[in-house]
Amino acid sequence: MSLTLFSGLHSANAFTLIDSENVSVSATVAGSAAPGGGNTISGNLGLPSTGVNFSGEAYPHARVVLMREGVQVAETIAASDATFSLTLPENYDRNILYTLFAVDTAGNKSLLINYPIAIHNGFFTSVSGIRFAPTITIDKVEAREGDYLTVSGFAVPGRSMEATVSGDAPVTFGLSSDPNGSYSIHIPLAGLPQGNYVVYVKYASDTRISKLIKFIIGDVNIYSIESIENIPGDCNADRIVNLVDFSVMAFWYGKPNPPACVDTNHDGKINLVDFSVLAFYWTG
Amino acid sequence: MKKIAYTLFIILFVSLFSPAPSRAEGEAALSISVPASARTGETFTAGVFLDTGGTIINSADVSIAYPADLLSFEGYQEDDSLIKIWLKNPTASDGVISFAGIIPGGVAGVYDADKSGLSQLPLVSLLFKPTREGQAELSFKNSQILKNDGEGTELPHSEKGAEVAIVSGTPGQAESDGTPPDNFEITYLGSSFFSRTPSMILFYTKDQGSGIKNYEMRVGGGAWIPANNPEPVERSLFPEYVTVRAYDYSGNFKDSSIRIPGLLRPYAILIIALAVLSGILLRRVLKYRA
Repeated sequence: MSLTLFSGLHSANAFTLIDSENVSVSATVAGSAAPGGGNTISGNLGLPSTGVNFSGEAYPHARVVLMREGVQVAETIAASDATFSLTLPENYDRNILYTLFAVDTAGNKSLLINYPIAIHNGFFTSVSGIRFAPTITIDKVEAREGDYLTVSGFAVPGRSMEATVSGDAPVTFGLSSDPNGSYSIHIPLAGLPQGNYVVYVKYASDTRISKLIKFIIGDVNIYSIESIENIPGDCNADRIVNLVDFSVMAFWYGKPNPPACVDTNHDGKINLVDFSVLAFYWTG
Repeated sequence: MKKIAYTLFIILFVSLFSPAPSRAEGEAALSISVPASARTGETFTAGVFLDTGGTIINSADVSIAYPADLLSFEGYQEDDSLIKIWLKNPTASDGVISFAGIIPGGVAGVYDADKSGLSQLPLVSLLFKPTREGQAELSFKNSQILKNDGEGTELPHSEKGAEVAIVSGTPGQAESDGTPPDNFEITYLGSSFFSRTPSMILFYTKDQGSGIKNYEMRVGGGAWIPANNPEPVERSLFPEYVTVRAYDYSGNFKDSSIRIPGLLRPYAILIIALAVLSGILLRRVLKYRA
């Protein structure tokens, strides 16, 4: 991540921070900051006097949604090259939690990405280089031993990616997204014994991974049905993980013999680990 | 001379081949920030922070020990907290304050263009009022931080408590929180016939001054009883109102009510009422004819 602060309108005073995701955050004095802040629009730059901008890459024509403290405040459609940009006027606050997610053209939602940001009055903060992990779906919830599993979804067009099947010994396969941003890979399951597995994808150069999709290698092929995604913690199977699911899990917190749908790691108890898994898959 | 040369060689060898320090997960640290001193009778804030070392985390369960003979726990403030959903809001028992919560989607730190790196995550601000002079030590008793990796992997971290010197203050200067908790709504979550999870009511609110201490509820005009979020509710034959009262640490409260549907649907009640009326009417007709 890169972070830059200019202490004056044309100041060269700047410092930069780069994190593992190469997201850049900079705060610059706005074109015509109004005394005392506020949301006035700058005549010179066309930017709010105090504001924040998020830009990066999602999926071609994806809907990108911005939430502020859990409330949706803006959305946009990504370009055909998957780039997007969202700008929000803002007031001074010590830190504000911004959350972004993207929905690909097939309706699959990304995981949430959070940016708690300290907003400074009179400064325009830019967060650039955001990149959502690819979306992911699989064709079978159970695959016959030795058969294939098809993994597909959307990503930034023309990017190198990795699909990993994690079991006792994780196996990684290389693939690329096509010019339309879609990708598909038939993963051979030969050599993998029967059991429970998890598959996920990510860009070759990124640390952020897609949703983890569970599947079983067994005796028969059972194909996935769109309405059943087997999302951990989604007890009412509405493909949404939110406060309702949290509340059901919270009811069983510390109680014996919980239902299988809330016991995300199947250890027979509901503890912080189950809530962590729920928070990972949270859609809001 | 040979011995010195040998020692230098060993030092050089060790320094060359020891792993270089890096910003790894092991550098994650929980800490408490307090003023150097505080006066008796005057509330001070103890900020609980987490440096994740760059790892994205999504849940925390923390217990902090404090000297109950020196400090009175007065509540908490969550304005800056990145814990957005409390599993256990901060509560004190026998000199230990414990809290747990989640951050959906996870966070690694606060992005501040005025700082040279990711800033620490503020977990919560605890409010204490010193009751007598002394050296008050706040220390972590237990803590669990989990990564946002879909598997709830634990993040190794260090813990650093804090000390505050309590000195004599002027009595009668303390400010009290006279503001009640925020308005809130109750949501009813009906259970399906086959579900093992009962019907529940969900509620949550915040308090700007001293934090939420506890909830109570009552059904109809019944007695107030302790309540937790979520709280199971039993449906009766007819609809009834449930009221939830949220208390802050200063004793202020705010109420909210919801109508819980009865087991008998409105049309069923109508059919029963019509049947009863028809019965009465038929009886009168028969009586009249007789």
